[in-house]
Amino acid sequence: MSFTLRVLLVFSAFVVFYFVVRKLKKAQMQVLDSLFWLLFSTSFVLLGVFPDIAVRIASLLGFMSASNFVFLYVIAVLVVRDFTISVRLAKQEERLNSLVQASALHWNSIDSKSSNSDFDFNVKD
Amino acid sequence: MLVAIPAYNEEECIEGTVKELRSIAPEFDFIIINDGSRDRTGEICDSLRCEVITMPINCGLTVGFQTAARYAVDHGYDYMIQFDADGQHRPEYLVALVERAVNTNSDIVIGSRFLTVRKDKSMRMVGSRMITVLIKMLTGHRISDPTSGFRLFSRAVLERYYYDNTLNPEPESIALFLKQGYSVSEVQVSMRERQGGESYLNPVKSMQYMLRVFATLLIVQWFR
Repeated sequence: MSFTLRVLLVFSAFVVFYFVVRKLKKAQMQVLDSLFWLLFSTSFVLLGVFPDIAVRIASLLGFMSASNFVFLYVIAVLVVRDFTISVRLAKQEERLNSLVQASALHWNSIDSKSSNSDFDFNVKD
Repeated sequence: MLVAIPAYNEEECIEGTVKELRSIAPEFDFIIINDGSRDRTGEICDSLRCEVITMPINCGLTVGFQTAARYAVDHGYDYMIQFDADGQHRPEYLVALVERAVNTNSDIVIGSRFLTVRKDKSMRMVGSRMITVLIKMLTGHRISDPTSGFRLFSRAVLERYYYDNTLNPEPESIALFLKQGYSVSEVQVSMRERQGGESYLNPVKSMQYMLRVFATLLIVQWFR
């Protein structure tokens, strides 16, 4: 694994860490999500500082080089993450729709009630 | 004093809980937060003529609790007690919680199952023990039953819930309040098994719960 890649791993880990902490401070991220990013960036540091880990696993699984394994690892984790995010997003959209429907039906029932009372009022007059 | 009862799909238990509250603790106002139930919970509450807040979609215990806290503050209550709809909690102890809060000027009073009784050796209690130890290490206070859902909150704490939606009615927030100098005390209570319906805690959710509590206590609260 090249020295550049190792430095880049450690550097990007700190960048990720910085942004996660910033989001946490502003309470713009959920705890379990931040935990994912913190563990993910910790794994970057581990891979960067101890390249032996990547070399061992790469040779065990038959990769051409350790860096190939590192790339695959990052891509695989992010693909899984992307999948779970799109499932969550679909659920959010569904929830938003039913919320809008509930709100719309609620206002509709209030409107029809008030127009009914107007009508009653007119008749009495 | 307000008793807040979050209910999600509790058609089997809600009637018994309400009737018992009315007969044993009639001096308490109570409100049911119907958290987007898809069963007959809402109809039953209507037929019993209870105060109900109906959430249009299921938002979970935390959001339901926050809603109740806002209601309590808006309506000028001094204390709010979190109470389960499933019949686990006994209304006999409501007075004990309030008395403790008034006498010791506590901000939070927890109805604890384990103040004078030992925990059993189930997985759940292993988790509970770990949280107790962690809170003791971080705050210096021993909370014997951090996961009890039978808790009283004073107006000062409810106002914090009103303005800060990162707070939840769970062990991590209680630890945070302890750190910030709020006083928390416990009263020994006994609880029953849930009287019907289903718990929202399945194995996956329990793991997530433990992870979240630990991550918040150990990592997140340092940054906030």
